Amino acid sequence: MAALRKQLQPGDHYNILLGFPGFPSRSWVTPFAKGPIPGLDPHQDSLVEILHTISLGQTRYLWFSTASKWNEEKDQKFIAWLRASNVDGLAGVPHGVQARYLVDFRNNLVGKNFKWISQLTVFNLHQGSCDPIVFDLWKATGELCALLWCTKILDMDQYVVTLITPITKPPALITTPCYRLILTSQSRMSLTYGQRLIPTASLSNPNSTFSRTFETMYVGLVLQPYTKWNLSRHQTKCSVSAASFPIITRQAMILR
Amino acid sequence: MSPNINWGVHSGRDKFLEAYDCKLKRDILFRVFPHCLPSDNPQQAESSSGVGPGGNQNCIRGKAGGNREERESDDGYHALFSVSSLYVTGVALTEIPYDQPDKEKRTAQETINTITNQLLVACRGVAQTVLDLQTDTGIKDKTAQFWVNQALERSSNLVSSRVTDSTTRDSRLNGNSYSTEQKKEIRDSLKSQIQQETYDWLLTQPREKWDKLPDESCASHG
Repeated sequence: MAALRKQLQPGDHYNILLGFPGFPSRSWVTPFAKGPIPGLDPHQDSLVEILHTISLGQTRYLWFSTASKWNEEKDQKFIAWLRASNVDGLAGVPHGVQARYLVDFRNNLVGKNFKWISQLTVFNLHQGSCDPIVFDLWKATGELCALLWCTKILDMDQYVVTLITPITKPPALITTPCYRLILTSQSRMSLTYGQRLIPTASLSNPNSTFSRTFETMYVGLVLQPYTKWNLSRHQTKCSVSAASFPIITRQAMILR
Repeated sequence: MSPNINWGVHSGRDKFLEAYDCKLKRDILFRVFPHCLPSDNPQQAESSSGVGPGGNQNCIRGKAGGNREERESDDGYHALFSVSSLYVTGVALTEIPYDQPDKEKRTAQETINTITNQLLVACRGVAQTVLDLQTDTGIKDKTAQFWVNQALERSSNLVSSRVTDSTTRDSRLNGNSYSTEQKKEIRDSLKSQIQQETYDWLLTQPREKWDKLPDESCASHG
């Protein structure tokens, strides 16, 4: 390893999160030192969260492109339909859906409003409310949202496959960066985060500040495995073959 | 392991957990590091050293994208919706050898190399080349940008005093004693020298942090 004084330092010269790249080689040098987390790669470990990815992305743009084109008559029609929706069994939707509020303040909605919208709008758009192609988009979005807010995942591998389908099939989704985030998270989702990705707490108590905070605060875990054999080798400052690490990581996940 | 395990107690740099690895058929130790990265998309771009949602290659996970024409073409648009199989199948992650990373995927080490390259180029004093690099790679680090600006300022001053300004520059560049090609070579070597000097200066910044780093003679690892 080159001397530290002849290197650019994470935190001083560039992003500190990139600090311990080549997991685990550099972390072996100073395994107990304070500093960046070994094995953390912000590119792959950044979390995907429904609020910023779907509610304030896809649903918001779609809602804007639909509702901004309505006139007074269409507004009233939509309010009447939406208010009459049966909300039994839906996640966190109040009775009557505050339909007038949604339409009056259509450009100033928050995450929970978009959650209602993504669940109900597709059933309340009638002829003339939007173009057929936008309606197709609403259907695809509704399908995706139903999967994303799924409360219990029994078979993660199956779930991941089901989730990819509405994302990749046409009509394509609007905000591509968001979708690449979801698409590229598949393997992580099943391996690292498991069911943590899905915010169940907010379902029982939609208005609670706590539950919304919880949605933005998934805690990911980086498991850094050591075999006893490797640990003793480290003490004699030997480099360790990285090949066995992914297997151990996977194993640790299964145990969890 | 129980899902109700208290990670706050059992995680940290010096806390090793014991387990039996069924695949390796031996006892293992592992550590748990909880992390809490942001979920907000612009902030994610910043913490992954990305250019942000408006960039040509705005994906923080991979290198998808291109300029506007490319992204709006049929093939380019379609490519945005397909990802490498390494992302999709759950098993594949465990089978990627560390020394053969996916070309499409961003890795921390590669990003560090890109940033280092940008800083090196900035030490030569031409702002446009840094901008081009940032556009091409989709990587623009906030912290590094602070040093890019400083290095640019420093090196462009040096270039103007040693290469451009006829009153202060190297005397070989004045007069007719050298041919045009020779002068070009001299200019290049002067610029390389300036680049090296500025980069060496950059490494010692911030000074108080640099002073705390172990001296070369003490760092005997590997």
